[in-house]
Amino acid sequence: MDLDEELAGRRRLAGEARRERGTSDRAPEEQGGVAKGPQARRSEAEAIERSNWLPWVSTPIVLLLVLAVWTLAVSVFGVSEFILPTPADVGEAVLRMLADASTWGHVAITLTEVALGFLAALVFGLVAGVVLGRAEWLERALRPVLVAVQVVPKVAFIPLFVIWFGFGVTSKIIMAATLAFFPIMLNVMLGVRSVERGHRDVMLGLGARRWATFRDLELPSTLPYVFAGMEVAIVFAVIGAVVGEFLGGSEGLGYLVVVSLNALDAPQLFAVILLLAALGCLLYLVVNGAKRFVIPWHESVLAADRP
Amino acid sequence: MSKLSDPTRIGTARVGESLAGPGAGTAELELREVDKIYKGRRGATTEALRGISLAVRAGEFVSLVGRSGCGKTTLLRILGGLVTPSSGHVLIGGSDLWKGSGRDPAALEKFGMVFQEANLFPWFSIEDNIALPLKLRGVDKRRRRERAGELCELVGLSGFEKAYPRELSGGMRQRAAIARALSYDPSILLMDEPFGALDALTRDRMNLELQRISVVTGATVVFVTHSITEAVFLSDRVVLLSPRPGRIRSVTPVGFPRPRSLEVETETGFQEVVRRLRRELDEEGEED
Repeated sequence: MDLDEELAGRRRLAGEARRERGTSDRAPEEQGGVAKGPQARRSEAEAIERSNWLPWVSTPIVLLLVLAVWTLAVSVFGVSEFILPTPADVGEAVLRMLADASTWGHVAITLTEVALGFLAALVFGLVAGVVLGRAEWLERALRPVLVAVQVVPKVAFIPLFVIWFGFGVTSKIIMAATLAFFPIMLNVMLGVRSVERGHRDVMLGLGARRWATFRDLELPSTLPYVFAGMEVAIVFAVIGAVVGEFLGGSEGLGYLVVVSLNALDAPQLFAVILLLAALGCLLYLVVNGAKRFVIPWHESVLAADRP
Repeated sequence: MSKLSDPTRIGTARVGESLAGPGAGTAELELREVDKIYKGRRGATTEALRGISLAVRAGEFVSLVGRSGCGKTTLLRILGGLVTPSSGHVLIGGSDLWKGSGRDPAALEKFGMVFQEANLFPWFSIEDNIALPLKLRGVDKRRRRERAGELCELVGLSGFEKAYPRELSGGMRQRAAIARALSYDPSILLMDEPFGALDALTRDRMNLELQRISVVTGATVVFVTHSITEAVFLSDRVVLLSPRPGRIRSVTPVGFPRPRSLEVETETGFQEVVRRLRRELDEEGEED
């Protein structure tokens, strides 16, 4: 081949490569491309899809590994079954409990306590957060009290709640609500204050009315904070309800934990813990799902789709 | 569009002269003896603007230039009714912008504002962002969608109507912000360094785009920038502000007819205006 021709060919190839690279790492705008924009977005979506299966594969592998090590530890080191039962025993206990109707009664009780406590915390947390976020003087006036209440380990109040509200579900609901209240209130307070100045200017420049400013600006920019608070609060609500059940009462999964402990029934203890874990996961997923539905535009939702 | 069609008419007019300039009587936008004093803590005050008088004709493109801290942004915010003047008057189409403590809604409807940042709402699609002013004015959804589509075409964002702002590049976001400001056909565009954060190439393109839009819509534009070249390229008149307190130092008409092509920047007359303004700005620096 003629040298000049070959050189020209190489140059052409290099040029093509450069052009190709250019389309991938330049912003859609500089591709001269209204037409190419959506395409670029589609390839990005494909990349996300491709990496999405990873946790679905890794999670079972990790679980299997844990089970294997666990089984091995029990059989090799001869750990007493009172301390660490085998996975098989635990599995059996779980199945036994699931088949028992009374277990579901306990689940329903705990679920009710958590749900009601959480809802109460949400309502009070929203109101208190908005009020304190708006009235900065009030927040400053109450700050020492708020900090004091916050640093107190709130589970210490449970005996008090039992004295005041009895051994029934009420004291547990109040405990769950007390724990769930603070993360919601604090986040809402922050959210109310975090409306961007530039966004306010836009609404102000357009002469937006009070209601429109709330609907189109303040509410949507506060919602991510509300959900951040809710995600912490739902976990706290479960803790509050279960710890409440430990200390008083005769119902709920927390009570089952205490019963299993008193009977030195380790497999059942593990089984109840697994049920509690499942319950916690389920509730968290409900809140998280609500977040994805309500604020699909937010970074926390978009980022979670890009592992 | 330009009323100053004679390219040889280039020169620096002093404040008084500019007020009496062509069409001063039918000013679309007018500031009369506007002062702005910010009150700080413990009674300390900062005089941001002093005795600003400026009249802008309908369809005119006026730029405000000056060093940072000279009050050009404050001046623009006063024009747009985001900031109350400490004294003086803001007249829109001959009537006061401020009626008592509130702003005249009829005057506000004439404004379209574009800020340094796009300030798009992340929870709205590009389409909904662009149509937000229409939503606030009670326009129904179908009409809003139509209008957003038209505007996307105007600013070169067709195909991105359903995208969220975060999916767009900085330049595209700023164009969406301009489209939003144009959505209800404002007769006055107030722009605060809208392209300040963009790279030079994109900026040139956006300036051409802005010029085209301003010519097509016939809007009056007040444009804040710290780039003298940009100001001279875009404007019928360039207002130079000097700092502490912000005052109008000079008003310079640019005699090239609009729309202009980027080649105008190589012409001697153009460079002459740029050089003179730059010299004036440098003199400011020595006073500091």
